[in-house]
Amino acid sequence: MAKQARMEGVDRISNLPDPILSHILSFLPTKEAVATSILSTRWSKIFSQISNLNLDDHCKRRKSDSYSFMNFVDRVLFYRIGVVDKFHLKCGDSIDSYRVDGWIRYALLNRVRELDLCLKVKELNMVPLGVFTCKTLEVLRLDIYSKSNIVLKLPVEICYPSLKILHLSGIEFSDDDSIQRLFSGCSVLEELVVDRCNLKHRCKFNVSSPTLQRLTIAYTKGYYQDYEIVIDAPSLVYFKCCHLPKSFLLKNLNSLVEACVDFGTVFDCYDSFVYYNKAATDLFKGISNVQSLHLSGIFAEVFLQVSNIIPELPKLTYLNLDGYFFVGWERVLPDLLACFPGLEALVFKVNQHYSCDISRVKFPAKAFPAFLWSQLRTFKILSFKGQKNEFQMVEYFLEYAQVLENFTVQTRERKQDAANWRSKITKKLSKLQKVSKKCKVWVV
Amino acid sequence: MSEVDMAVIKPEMMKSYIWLQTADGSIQQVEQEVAMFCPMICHEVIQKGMGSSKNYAISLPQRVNPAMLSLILDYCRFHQVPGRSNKERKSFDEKFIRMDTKRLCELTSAADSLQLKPLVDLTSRALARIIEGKTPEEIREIFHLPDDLTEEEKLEPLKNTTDDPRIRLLNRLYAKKRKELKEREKLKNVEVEEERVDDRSVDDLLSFINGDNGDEVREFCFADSKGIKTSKSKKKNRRRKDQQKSTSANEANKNHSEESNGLNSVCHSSEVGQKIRPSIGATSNLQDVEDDIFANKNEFDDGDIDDEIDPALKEKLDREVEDFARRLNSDWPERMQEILSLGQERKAVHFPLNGNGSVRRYSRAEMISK
Repeated sequence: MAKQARMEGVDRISNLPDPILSHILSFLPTKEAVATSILSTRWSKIFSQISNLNLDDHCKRRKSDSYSFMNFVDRVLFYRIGVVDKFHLKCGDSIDSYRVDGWIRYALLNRVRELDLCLKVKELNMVPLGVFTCKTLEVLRLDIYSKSNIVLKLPVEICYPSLKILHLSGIEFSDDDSIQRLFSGCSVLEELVVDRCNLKHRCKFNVSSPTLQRLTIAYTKGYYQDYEIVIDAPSLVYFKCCHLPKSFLLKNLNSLVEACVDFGTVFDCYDSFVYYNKAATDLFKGISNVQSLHLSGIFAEVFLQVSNIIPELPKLTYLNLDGYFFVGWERVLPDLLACFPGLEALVFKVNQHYSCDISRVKFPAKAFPAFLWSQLRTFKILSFKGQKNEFQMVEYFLEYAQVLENFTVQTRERKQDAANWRSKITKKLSKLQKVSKKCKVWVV
Repeated sequence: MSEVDMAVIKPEMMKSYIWLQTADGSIQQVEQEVAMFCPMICHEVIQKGMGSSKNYAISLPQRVNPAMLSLILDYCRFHQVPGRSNKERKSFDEKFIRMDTKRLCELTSAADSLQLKPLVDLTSRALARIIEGKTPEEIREIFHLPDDLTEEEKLEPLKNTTDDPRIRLLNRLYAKKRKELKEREKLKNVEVEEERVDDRSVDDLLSFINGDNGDEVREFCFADSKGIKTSKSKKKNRRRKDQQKSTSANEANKNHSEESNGLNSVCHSSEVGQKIRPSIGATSNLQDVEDDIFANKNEFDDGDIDDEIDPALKEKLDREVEDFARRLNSDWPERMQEILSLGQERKAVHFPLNGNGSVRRYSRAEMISK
């Protein structure tokens, strides 16, 4: 029956030209793409032309599965022709490292453009040094998962004439010099992400690039965070930093539009406050041109003296605040918002309080800056729980914000009766007095 | 003066049209900004000055029929508007792409001929999503593909039609490999007697071995004296082989209903010289012989493979080699039959490529004598 139907239908897909068929197959995991070789004579050779290799060992631990995988990859590479556009490999320790080395070399030899390695290994002996001198490489992602620190062995000569995007995750830099060599070898770098990396004691993380547009330095562990970050990037548009180092030096960030800073935990202790204070002031001095800012972290009592940490950011129009304030956001918000004279949009996430005496704080604890009421157009509250002080804030804002246009309340996730609760809040909010005529209230 | 103002003043002047002619002869006019979204049309207008009037209509490639053209123009009409957000574009694309496979293929073809890359990507992804996760039978049914590969073609190595030197080299390596295996078979006959001696000492270790997984036993083996090593590994191997046989039987049953192993049932029976079948799931032992030839071919230093294979496996491998060599010597059609029936049960075994067979033999003899 099926055969009959097949005979009757017209085979349209095989009429597509070879490049299109291999383009279609390039969206499949390589295993499935190769499997199409037995569909029909037309398809028997298409797989050998696909330029995207997507190889994943699916964390198989059994030796037989590992051998199957290794043999499969060997065969696929052997029968391929043409350049390799994207090479994505995900594997673990059960795969022989010399074979992985060979596969990566194959990709390098075939002018790979995008190399994506996700390795769960004990030591990094399968990345050939040729990876760091590949002329055709435009995107390199090195994602290492390991129980112990893996030091990235870099050759003396690092040359990346085409590299635009570089992601490094889970590795350790051996010294300042290697960091320097790596970044100076990338002459056209546009995006850099350094994530979960280790920096040795008193290390200097120096990034100096005229072409860099996006930079992320996240969860970098230094020895007691005793490292320094120096950035000189005149084309930088986006900057993200999670957990502050000991000192920051940000030069020439003239094009910066958006910055995301995750303070981590600012402990309530004078010593760490002083050190944090310096790093934070350096950071904000460097990003003073920023227009959009995301702040997050756990802020201790010391954050009360906000003006010591955050200077005035004149060009800031958008602020996204997701913080845990030990003393309660009611007391911090007025001072914090006073640092942003140009603020037009505010997104604020209500987080759990750590302090016990919060119920005694009446909103507002002190006056909000006056400029806010004539400028604030958009106000969004996330994780709204419907508590008394939250309603007080909403009421207060609606009463004073004269040009407020969009006011959105996103309720906190509730397991039961969510719709009902939302409508209750909507009803309550709609009863509040709004000074701005154009103001629309949304409850999502 | 903004565009809006101009439109108010001279509405007839604002809209300019491009004339397009499809392969069936019908001519239509399309708003300029919509048509120019297609690189091919854009090229015709700018480089050749075509499309300005009915007489100079741009003739579209044959693959673009009127129905497809109207779809493509809908796509262009939406996307050429600059103010749309990514979210809007994405949701439009998702709705747009909902059509039957037949039209998807036609659309891909038409978009390709007009060099409209974003639409080609969109349709290609949709087709890939359709193909993903299906058995070959299902795919053939959806796209009406002819099943024109013979059983043998699916199993046999790719014909050396282009006289590829790599394939010739491979065949030579296979021949060499076959020779080596024959030699090993001869050695095997010598060793069989000696191994049986160790069986008895295994009994007292039974309770320990039965409770453990392979890795722990192996570690224990290495820590212990060499004499016991062989026997323990033998016992473990036998147990493991039985286990594997049963699990692979189960797998074979399960596999029949799964897509990738629909492939397996066809290509499972591999042959020396058969190259290209991906080893999804359980692979035949024969495949792995050639696999190691590949590994060698890639110029890696394979010298240490043997060291990595623990003695426990060697026993099992030798037995497999014997079977393999026997099969090589029988006739082709009979072999095919045998392979097809046995293929289901085989478990993948890494057959180490050890150019120096004599070394191995020596070390085994040494172990046994201790």
